[in-house]
Amino acid sequence: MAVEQPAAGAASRRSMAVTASGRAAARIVGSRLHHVTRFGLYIALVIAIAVFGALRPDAFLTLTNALAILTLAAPLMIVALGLTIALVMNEIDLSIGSMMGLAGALCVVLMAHWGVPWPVAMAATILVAVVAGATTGIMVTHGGANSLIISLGMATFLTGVEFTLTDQRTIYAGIDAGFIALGQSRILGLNAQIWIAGALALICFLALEKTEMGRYMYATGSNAEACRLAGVPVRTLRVSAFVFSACGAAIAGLLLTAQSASSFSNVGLPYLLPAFAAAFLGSTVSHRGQFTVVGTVTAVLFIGVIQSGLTMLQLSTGSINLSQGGMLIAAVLLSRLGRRSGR
Amino acid sequence: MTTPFLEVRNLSKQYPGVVAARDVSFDILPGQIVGFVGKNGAGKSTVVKILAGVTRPDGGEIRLDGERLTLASPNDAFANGLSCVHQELNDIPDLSVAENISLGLGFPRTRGPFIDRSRLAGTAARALGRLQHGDIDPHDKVGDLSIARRRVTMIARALTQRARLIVLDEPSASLTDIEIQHLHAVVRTLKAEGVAVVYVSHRLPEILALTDRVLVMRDGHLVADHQCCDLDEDKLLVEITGKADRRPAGTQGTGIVGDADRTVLPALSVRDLRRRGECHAYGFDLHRGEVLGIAGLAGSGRTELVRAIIGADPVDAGDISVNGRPVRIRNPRDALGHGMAMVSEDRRSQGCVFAFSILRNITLSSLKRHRRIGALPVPHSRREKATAEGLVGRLAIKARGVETEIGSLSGGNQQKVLLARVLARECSILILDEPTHGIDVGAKEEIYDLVRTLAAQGTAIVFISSEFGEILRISHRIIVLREGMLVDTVRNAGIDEQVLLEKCYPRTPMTAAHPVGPTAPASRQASQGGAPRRLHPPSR
Repeated sequence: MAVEQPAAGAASRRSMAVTASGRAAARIVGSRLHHVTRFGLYIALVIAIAVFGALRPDAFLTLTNALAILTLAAPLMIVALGLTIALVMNEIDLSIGSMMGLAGALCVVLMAHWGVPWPVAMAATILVAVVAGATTGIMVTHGGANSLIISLGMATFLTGVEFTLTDQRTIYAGIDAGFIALGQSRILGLNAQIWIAGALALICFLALEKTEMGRYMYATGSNAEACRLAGVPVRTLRVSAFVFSACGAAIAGLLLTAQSASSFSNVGLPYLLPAFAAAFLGSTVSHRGQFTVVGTVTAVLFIGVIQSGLTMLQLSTGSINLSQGGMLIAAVLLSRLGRRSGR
Repeated sequence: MTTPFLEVRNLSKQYPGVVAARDVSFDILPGQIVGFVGKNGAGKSTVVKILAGVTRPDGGEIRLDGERLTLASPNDAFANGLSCVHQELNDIPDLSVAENISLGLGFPRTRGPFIDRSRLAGTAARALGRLQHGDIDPHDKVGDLSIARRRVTMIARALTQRARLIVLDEPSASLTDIEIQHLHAVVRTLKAEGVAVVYVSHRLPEILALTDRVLVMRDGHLVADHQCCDLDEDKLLVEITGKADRRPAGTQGTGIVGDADRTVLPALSVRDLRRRGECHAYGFDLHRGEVLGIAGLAGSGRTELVRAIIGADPVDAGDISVNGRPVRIRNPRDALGHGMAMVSEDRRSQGCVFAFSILRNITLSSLKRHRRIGALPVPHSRREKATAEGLVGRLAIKARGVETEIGSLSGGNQQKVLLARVLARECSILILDEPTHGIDVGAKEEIYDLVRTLAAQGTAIVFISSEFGEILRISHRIIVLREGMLVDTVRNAGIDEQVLLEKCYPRTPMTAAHPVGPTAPASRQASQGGAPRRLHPPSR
C-alpha cells in the first residue's frame, strides 16, 4: 500500500504527457519520472519503515528490532549477493537454495560425525561449493547447455547429496561452539552475521564496480560475443559466475546452521525465491536496470523490513503473503513505468 | 503475355548518408524471368526489400494490375502475390516441409481443433509436384534438408500462396552445380505456369543462361534493362561497374601512401589455413606498414577468413606466424596477445557493449594498461579517461562526452569508438572488416585517413570492403576471394575497379584462368564456372 501512492502519481503524470502529445513535454516528464523511479526502491523502503513505525511505534522503531531485521536479513543478503554476480553475467543459478542446505548439512556432518575441527569443516564445505559451482559453470559454458535447466538439475542433485548425508534427520549434537558463535555471538553489539554480510557486500561491491573482473562481467552480460572478440576471457568468467553464486549460498547456509546450532533438512529452499526477488528488485535502482550490489542490498533490507513489519502487525500468514507479494510487484512496476517513458 | 501486371515507378529509398535507390522504374510481365544484377551496395537488396514489403520506399509507387499498392509489411506483399525467397532462408527448421509450406495460410483442420495432417501433406505434395520435386517428403523436417531443397520448399510455399511474382535473392549461393541445374528447372517451371521470377545473382553466366531479361543496378540507379539475346558477360560487367570515364575520381590505384617495408619478416604470415568443413587453403603475407585489401563479393568468405585467423572460429589446420615466429591462436584473446585485433563488420552484435559508455567501450580491450598499480587488477579511472578522451579527439568522435552511452551515437561514431578500442590496445596488426559499412561519407574519409596514418606508422592492416573503390584507394596489395577461395593476389598498381570486379565474379572458365594465387589449388579453378557455359536462347 505504501508503494502504490507514488505509482499512481507517476501513472497519472504519464498519461498527461501522452495527451499533451508534445514530444518535448513527454521527455521532460519522462526524465523527471526517471529520477523518481530510480529512487523508487529507496522511497518504498522509507515509506515502509514510516508506515510500520506509525502502526507499531513501540515495537517497530526500536534498536532491538532494527538489529533483528539485519540479523535475519544477513543470510538472504549473502545468497543474493552471489546470485547478483551470476545475474550480472546473464546466468541464472537455481541451485543456490539446495547449495545452502547442502553446505549446512555437510559442515555439521563433518563436525558431528567425523570429528573434523570446525574451521577445517567450513573450509571443506566452501571447497565443495567451489567444485559444485565450477561443475555447473563448465556444463553451461563448455557443454553449451542452458543455465536455467542445468542449475535446476544441479539443485536436485545437491539436495540428493544432502539427504544422503543426513537421512533428512535434524542434527543437534556434536556441533562446535566456535562454529555456533559465528551465527550467535555479538561483535560491538552487532550479530556476527551482520558483520560477515556487510564485509561480503563490500567485497562484492568492490569486485563488481572497481576491478577489471567486474568490468568484464558487466560487459559480458551486455554483449558476450563482442567481449570474446575484444579479448575478454568470457568462458572463465561465466564459470566463475556459478562459483561465486555457489559460494554465496554455502556461506549463507553455514551461517543459518550456526545460528540455529542445528542442521535442518533443506534449510535453503525458502531462500531461493526471495534471493531472486531481491536481485531483480535491486536492479530497478540502477540506471539501465543492471544488477548491482547496492541495489541488491537495498532490496534485501526492504524485504526484511516488510517481513518483520507484517509479522508485527500480527496478520494471518495469508495476509502476510498477499501484502508481501503485492509490495514486491508494486515496487518493480514503479520502476518499469519510468523506464518506458524515460528513454 | 504482353501487358505487365506489375509496374514499379520511380522507387526511391534513402538511408542516412546514402541513396540506396533512386527513380527505379520497371515493368514485369507474367511468366517472365528477370535477372537482377549489380555489385554489393548497388541497390538490388533495397529494391527487393521494398517488393517484399520489408522496407517502405521514400518515394515512387508500385502498381499491380494498374492499381496502386501499399506494402506495409511482408504479409501485404504475400497477400498481393509478391513473394520473396531471401538468401538467408526464413523457414522454420523444426517444422516439417508440409507445415512450412502452409505456414501463414492457416492449416487445414479436421472437424475438431486438430490439424488435418493428410490434407496438409497433400497441399505440400501438390506444390512440390508442380515444381518437379515430388521426391521431397512433406513429412521431413525442413532443417534436415539441403539448402537447395529448402529453397525449393520456400518456392513451393510461395506457389501455394498463389504468388504471381517470386523474388529469388541469390538462390544459387552455396549450391552445387547440379543443384543449380535443378533450381533453374524449377524457375522454368514457374515461368511455364505464368509466374514471374526476379532472379538476383552475382553469377553472370547463370543470369545469361536462365533469364529473359536483365536489369542492372549501379549506385542506386537502374542503369540498364536488357533482353538477354543482345548480351554477353563483358557487356554486363561494364554496366555493373560503370564505364571507365564514369568512375568517380580516385578509385584507381593511385591513393597509395608509400610502400611496405619488405626487408624484414612479414608481420603476419598465413599458410595453408583451412576452415572447418571446407578444403580451401589460404596463404598470404602481410608486412609492416602495408594495407592489404581483401576483395570479394558478398558470401565470398572474407569475414570467415579473418575470423579464422584471429581465432574467433575454429580452424582445421594452418600455420600463422607473427613477425616470423609461429604462433598458436585458439581464441581472439590469444590473437590480441600477439598484437592482432579485429574490428568486426557487425557493430551491433559483435562490437558495441551497449550497457557501457564510450569510455568503457574504448578501454575494454586494454583495461590492463590502465591499472593504477601494476599488480592490482583495478582500472584507474583517470588514466582510462585520458586514453578515451585522447582517442575521442583523435578520431573526431562526435559525442557530448566520454561518459555518453555508446547506443546513443550514430553508426559512424560507434564504428570510431570500436576502432578506438583496438587503437587503445596498440596492436601491430589490425583487421578491419567493412569498417566503413553504413556510415556517412565524411566519416569514411576520416577512417581512410586513419588507416593511412596507422600504416605510415608501421601498423600492418587488413582492410575488407565490399566497396572496391575504397579498397583501391587505400590498399597496397589486394587479395581476391571468390566463393570461399583465395583466387588472386594483386599489387594495387594500374588496376581499376572493373579489373577487380572481374576477378571476383564467377566466370566461365576462359576468363577464370587469370593468374592464380600461390596456394589456390589448380584443380578447383577448373570447376569454377559453376553455371552452364552455353547460353540458352531466350525462350519467350
